[in-house]
Amino acid sequence: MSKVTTTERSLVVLEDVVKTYRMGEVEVTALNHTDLVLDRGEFVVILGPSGSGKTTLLNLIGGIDSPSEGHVVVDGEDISRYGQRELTLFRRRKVGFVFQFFNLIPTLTARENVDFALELTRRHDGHAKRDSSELLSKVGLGERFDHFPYQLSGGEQQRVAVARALAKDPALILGDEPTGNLDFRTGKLVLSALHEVHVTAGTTIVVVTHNQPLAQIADRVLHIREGRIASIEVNEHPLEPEQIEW
Amino acid sequence: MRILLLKTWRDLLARKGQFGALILLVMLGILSFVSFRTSYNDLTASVERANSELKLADFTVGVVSAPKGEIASVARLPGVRAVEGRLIVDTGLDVGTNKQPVARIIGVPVDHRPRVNDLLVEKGRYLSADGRGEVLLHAKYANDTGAKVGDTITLRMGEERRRLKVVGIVASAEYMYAIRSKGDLPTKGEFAVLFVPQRDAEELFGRQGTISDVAVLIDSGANLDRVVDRVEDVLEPYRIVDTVKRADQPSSFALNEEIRQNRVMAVALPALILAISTSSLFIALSRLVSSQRGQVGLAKALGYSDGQVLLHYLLFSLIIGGAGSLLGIGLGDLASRGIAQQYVQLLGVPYMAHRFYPDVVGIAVILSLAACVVAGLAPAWRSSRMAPAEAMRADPNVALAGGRRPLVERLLGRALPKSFTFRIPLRNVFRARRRTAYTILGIAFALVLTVATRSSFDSIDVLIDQVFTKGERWDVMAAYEQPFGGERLATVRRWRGVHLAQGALMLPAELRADSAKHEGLVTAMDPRATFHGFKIVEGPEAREVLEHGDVVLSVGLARKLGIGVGGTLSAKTPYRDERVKLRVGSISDEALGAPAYVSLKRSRDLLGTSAVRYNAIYANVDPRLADDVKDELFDLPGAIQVNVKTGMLSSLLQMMEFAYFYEGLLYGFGWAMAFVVIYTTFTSNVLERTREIATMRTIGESNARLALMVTIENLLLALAGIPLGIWLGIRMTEALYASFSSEAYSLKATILPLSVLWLVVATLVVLLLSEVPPIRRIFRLDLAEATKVME
Repeated sequence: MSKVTTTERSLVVLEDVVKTYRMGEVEVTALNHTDLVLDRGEFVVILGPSGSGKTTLLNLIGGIDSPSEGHVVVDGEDISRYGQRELTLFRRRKVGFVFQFFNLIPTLTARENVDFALELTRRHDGHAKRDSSELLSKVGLGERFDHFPYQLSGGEQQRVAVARALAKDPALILGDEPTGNLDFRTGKLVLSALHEVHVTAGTTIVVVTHNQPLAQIADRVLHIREGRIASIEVNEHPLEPEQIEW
Repeated sequence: MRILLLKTWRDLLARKGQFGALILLVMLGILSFVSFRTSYNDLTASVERANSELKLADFTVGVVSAPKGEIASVARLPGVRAVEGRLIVDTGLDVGTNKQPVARIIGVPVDHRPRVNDLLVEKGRYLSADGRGEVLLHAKYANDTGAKVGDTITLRMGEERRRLKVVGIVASAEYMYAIRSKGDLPTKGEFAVLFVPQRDAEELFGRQGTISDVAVLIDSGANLDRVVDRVEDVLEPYRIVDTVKRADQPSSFALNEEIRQNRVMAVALPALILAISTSSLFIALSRLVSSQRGQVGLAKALGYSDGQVLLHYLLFSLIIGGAGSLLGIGLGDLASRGIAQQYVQLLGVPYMAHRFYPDVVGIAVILSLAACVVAGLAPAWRSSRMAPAEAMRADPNVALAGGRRPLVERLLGRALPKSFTFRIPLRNVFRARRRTAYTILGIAFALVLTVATRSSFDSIDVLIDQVFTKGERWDVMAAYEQPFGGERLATVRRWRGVHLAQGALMLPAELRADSAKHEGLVTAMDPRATFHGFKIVEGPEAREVLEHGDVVLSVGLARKLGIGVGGTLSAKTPYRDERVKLRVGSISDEALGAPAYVSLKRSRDLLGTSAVRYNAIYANVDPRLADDVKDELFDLPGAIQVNVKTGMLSSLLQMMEFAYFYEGLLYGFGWAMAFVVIYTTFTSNVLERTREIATMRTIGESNARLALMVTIENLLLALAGIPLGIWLGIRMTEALYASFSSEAYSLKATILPLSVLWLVVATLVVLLLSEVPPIRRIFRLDLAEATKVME
């Protein structure tokens, strides 16, 4: 019987999820019987020390890993037992990723990096929902559409990554330390871009970070320790990215 | 240091597929080097042993006929260690098929073993002093036909048949390469060497008390030319036909050619393979060590010295080089034994000498280890020179370098497919130029050996076509001991099934131009004769030249004599004491032998007669009656050789089976190399882009599309690599053939369009197969891990 209470607003549901890894002779439990519900339109920050299981949690939600036990349901789809092909289609349709190292395709311009994601959507849906120029403008990269990644600063690259994540009009954007490789100023620009998307499009955003101050912009903050959600903090008055300092 | 050793071991285990391929690459290089060099050394040693143990003559003098008593005179000459006089006559064998083998009857002593040109009895026994009708059969013919001790052999002597009983199967240093005369190609079951008691030989041919050949061994330290002169002085009254030194003796000459060619192969081919394997190794290992930049930085940050770090990577390379060398030496030694054994059998060398050659192994190991060490050290040295912090710095931009729209896309942008499935691979090709160059070179190197082998097949096919279709245009030919007049030709023309019969005269002659000379056959023919097709490369048409009384020389002969069109040479035949001057009218591209052609009219000067004479007939016949015509030609008096062209061709093709087998092995070897080289290159290409590929998968690109992208990229690289490989392969074949060519034959490096197509298709198949492991790696990527990899 399900211990998790869901509503119509529930976008992500984790039910009694266990994730174990075998590292040689040793079995490591990264997530231990975890239950979680994330609602549509939430901005969630996951905080925790290294090895606490926060990235594992993000990977399971994003469908780049599968649980050893339990269920992961995203936007009504139980992806727990999906095969590689189904997970690929799931990621293509439902999830946008923002990585710590930006992970742009080095041979494509800023516009083409976004177009690449649009092409994936088009291949699936038959048409693109968005326009790359519009998306890049939205993240504040107005005049550098045709620059290659090596010609962009780290902050600009990460904003392209945000635009690429938006291209699919995903239900969910997942960021794994999206400011981890940026200085304070450019980190804030990226957070602003994510926040803007959250506010204007109502996209659900989940960000994993070590960086405590980032929690101030979240609607909810999950604290993870030793593979379990130790506490959940609700921010009644989240701050704007411009307002935080670290 | 123990930890670095452990790290080396773990690194090897972690990338065992790639390291295994590198070890395999070294192994293939060493294997080829050791096997070819060792088999070459073995073959040379085997031939030298046979020459020594079977007392191969230092020279022979052929005479029309000399009394046996003169042998004692020759034996007394200073510098002569041993001498043997023999009666040697060519006749035919009756085998009851469409073949007409030539039998060379050689008289040998029965009261003692031959003092010169001894025989090795492989089966049965030597001739007995009191036996009659006994014969020793040369092993080559016995092997070709399955003849064995106790069988009866029937000689054709005009209309007469003589039956001889085989009492032994023998090998001979004089006929290790069993051919009738210098420049002949070996055939299967077409030429039998029979050793009979000297007295039986004299009786068979009605030449009692005479010999036609004197074989001499000289004292060690004696001057060969002086001894030859003394022997010629003694035999001069008996009309010397030819004097043949060991180097020009047909079998020795051919064997030396084989060994010379084998030496080229033993040096060139392994050098090429080793070069390919070491350069591929260099590329792969350099890339591998470069990818460990961060680990070098970490090791240095922990306090390891530059030297220790270098030693660690040196060990890395030494393990690959050492393991590859050990495997290569072991397998190379085994392979060399097989190759030498096959060669020795094919060439009829009765002894097999196999040894381990430390120098060969030493060179191979030093070369490979040097390549491994240099390949590993160069990037490790670069990394060790970096400050630890810089080496370890997680700079996401490192992997971004080189993003640009290539010129081809800027020019053809609209015409090219829009999809990123095509554009990304296209840009990747131009993104990392060194990587692209390495890959193109890898594909080209991989192809060189296979192209060279394929080209060899084609070149031989073209040669056979040139000789048997375009050059020799007759169906049946017959050669006779004594010249004859036009009546015999007229008779033959009247036979049933004969469409055309043309006469020719083949004269042994010594051709001399300035300081160079050549001993061989001059063919005299009617200028309008059609039995031989010329391919004139310099000068007017052959017909015009022959009508003018000039000589047509083959390219090889002209080169040997150092003479061109318009030059003059002198010819000396056994039939006339004066030398005859001949003007070179044209040069013809003849694939085989070193022929010279004059008109029949002109041959009268060489023969010293006023009438035109013939000793050969070339006939074009009804194919259904070819065997009958062959029999009838052989029944004419004095017949020594009758050839049916189709039979010769099939014999030649049978003889080629070994060559095809041998080249087939090389071919397989080439493709194995191709696979390993392409595999290591592609794997490095994928490994270096792990994060990029993982990112595409993570954001929703399918495995199939990613595999397609990798394939498109590789195909684009192959577009450059394949033509380069074909070009290099042909150049290599040309270089090999240039060193092979001799007066006996000249091969031209050829590759047929169908072969090019086949090579392209086969390369693409190998390329696709080589892609499978790296693509499987993409499918198995841990996306969570790989998207964070620092490249």
